Amino acid sequence: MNRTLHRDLPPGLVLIGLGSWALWETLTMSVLGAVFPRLAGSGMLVGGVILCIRALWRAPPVQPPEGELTRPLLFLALLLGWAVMLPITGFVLTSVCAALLAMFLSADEKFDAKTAAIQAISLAALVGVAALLFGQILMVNLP
Amino acid sequence: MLEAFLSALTPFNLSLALAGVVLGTIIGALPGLSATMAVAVLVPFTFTMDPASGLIALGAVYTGAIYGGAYAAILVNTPGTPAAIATSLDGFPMAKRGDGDLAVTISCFASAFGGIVGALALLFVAPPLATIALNFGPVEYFWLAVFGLSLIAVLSKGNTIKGLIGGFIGLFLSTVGSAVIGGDVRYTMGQLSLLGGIHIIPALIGLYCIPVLLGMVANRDPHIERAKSGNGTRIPEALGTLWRSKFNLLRSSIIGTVVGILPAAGGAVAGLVAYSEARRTSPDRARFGKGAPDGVVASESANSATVGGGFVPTLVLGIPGTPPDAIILGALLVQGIRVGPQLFTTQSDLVMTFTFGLLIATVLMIPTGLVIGRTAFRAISSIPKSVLAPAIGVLIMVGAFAVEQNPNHVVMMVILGGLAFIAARWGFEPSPIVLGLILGPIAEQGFVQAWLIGGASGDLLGQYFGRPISLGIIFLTLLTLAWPWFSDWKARRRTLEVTE
Repeated sequence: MNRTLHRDLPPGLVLIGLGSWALWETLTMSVLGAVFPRLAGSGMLVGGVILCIRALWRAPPVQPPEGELTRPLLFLALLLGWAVMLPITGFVLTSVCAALLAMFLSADEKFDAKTAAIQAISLAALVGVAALLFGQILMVNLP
Repeated sequence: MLEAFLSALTPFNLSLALAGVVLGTIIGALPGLSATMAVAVLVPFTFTMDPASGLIALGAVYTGAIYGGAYAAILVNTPGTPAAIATSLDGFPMAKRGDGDLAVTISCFASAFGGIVGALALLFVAPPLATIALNFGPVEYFWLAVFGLSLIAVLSKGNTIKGLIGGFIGLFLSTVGSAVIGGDVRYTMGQLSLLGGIHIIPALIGLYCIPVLLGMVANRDPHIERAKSGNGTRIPEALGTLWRSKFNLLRSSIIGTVVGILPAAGGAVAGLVAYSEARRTSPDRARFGKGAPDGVVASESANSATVGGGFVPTLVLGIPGTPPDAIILGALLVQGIRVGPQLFTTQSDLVMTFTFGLLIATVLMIPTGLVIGRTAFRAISSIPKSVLAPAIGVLIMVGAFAVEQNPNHVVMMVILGGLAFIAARWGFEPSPIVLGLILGPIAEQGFVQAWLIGGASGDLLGQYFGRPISLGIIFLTLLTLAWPWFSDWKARRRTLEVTE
């Protein structure tokens, strides 16, 4: 009950902070340039207040999504590292390494060496095809 | 007319149409690669062709790319192109429950129907339709965007507060960067990379695809259910659904054609408006958002109809209806063709051949789309997660980068994706955020321009509320907002009468 009761409190507080900052920033904008930012900021602020009041007064009918949290967060960190390293180590090297790490991270069960090798080769080939398609045919200047 | 039809049917033009549809479908299916990019890639190859053949090739690629966006929307919950946003709302839930093959086949036939309606509009009523577009001023665009935003209330029924908050978050994200008019620098926190704003394609991939990717890793269930039965296309079932949804199909195709004619509105707006109308008028509204085939029918027929519709102002007025139309317009000018109303009289053969080519390409989309769709569905439903998740990772990384060849877009995509994943755990859906992000700039530009015009003419209220088209759109917006409550009230009254 308590977990459900307070689930809307963190987003409510985040929205109050974000909305207040969005409104504060409009002080330096021109009148017409501030119309939509003020609308958005006010909406987030009011929405955050409503969520907080709702969280403290009555339990919202929101069920937590199923599934574990550790693996997705690790996967998210991997995606972030992949994105940051892309211009530094290049598309092919970064993508091959990241795809192999992602393969192990997203596997539901342990696989034998042969399966791992086949999947790793398939992913490396996919990276090669993507580099060829985007870099050579579609003329995208890949890092 | 017969001569034009026959010249569109030459083996060379037929091969161009087929190759264009296949290429466009594949490019459109890859997240991050838009119809604009598909057309832009092909333009240099058309310079050596005669104008009609070049136009047929470009039109076929464009048609295929708009349709191709449906695959990723249905099978991975990532709209391959912005035009397929509304398709993901019901397409992905269908795929999750094992009806992905049916959704892909429905989207194929609905796209073909919408494409044919758009092409016929170009063939028969282009000049009068183009004059409608000329009557659309900034304030009409503003109200049209507000109409699109009203869909948030429709989409988030059951959790309206969070839906509206999502819309405001999207609106906030759309204001990041330089203001569309006036040049105010907003919410960039001193980062030059944010000066250009948040690009819609990386945002779309991040908000839709990354939560799905992370959800795929979090759960041990299959990503999508395999087909329950059939050969992977379920054509009779799809045709039956389309027949039952014939009014929705026709209405959505007309909406798509009309919205396509409006410069800058595009397939995303068309799909959303048609989806909203389909939901509003459906007796089974509760199914929308949970895998209703009617939602896929509305979105796909509308976004494909924008192709033909978009060519109306492009060819009649020289005003491109969508970004791919702008590229095609450039290709026409390079070929020495002067667009304008006189094109339909002085070079009617060219227009006719092109329109028939577009029609043929749309028809060719059916076998092509069914074969590619069946292959894509089988592949995605049978590939192990340990290959599928990294493969999607590779495609979204390269797709987000390819939009403007900017590594900052890739980082932005991942950040937005992470935030969307956390927001989903707090009960926020990505669709209202995306709606705010897409429609925010259209609404803001229209609002500010209308304000300036109204201020200069001394009739501010008249500018916003005194124009017939605006009033029509305001009426439709109010109707969309009020209809669910009105029909619920009617249903309750009927139940009361029966029980009494």
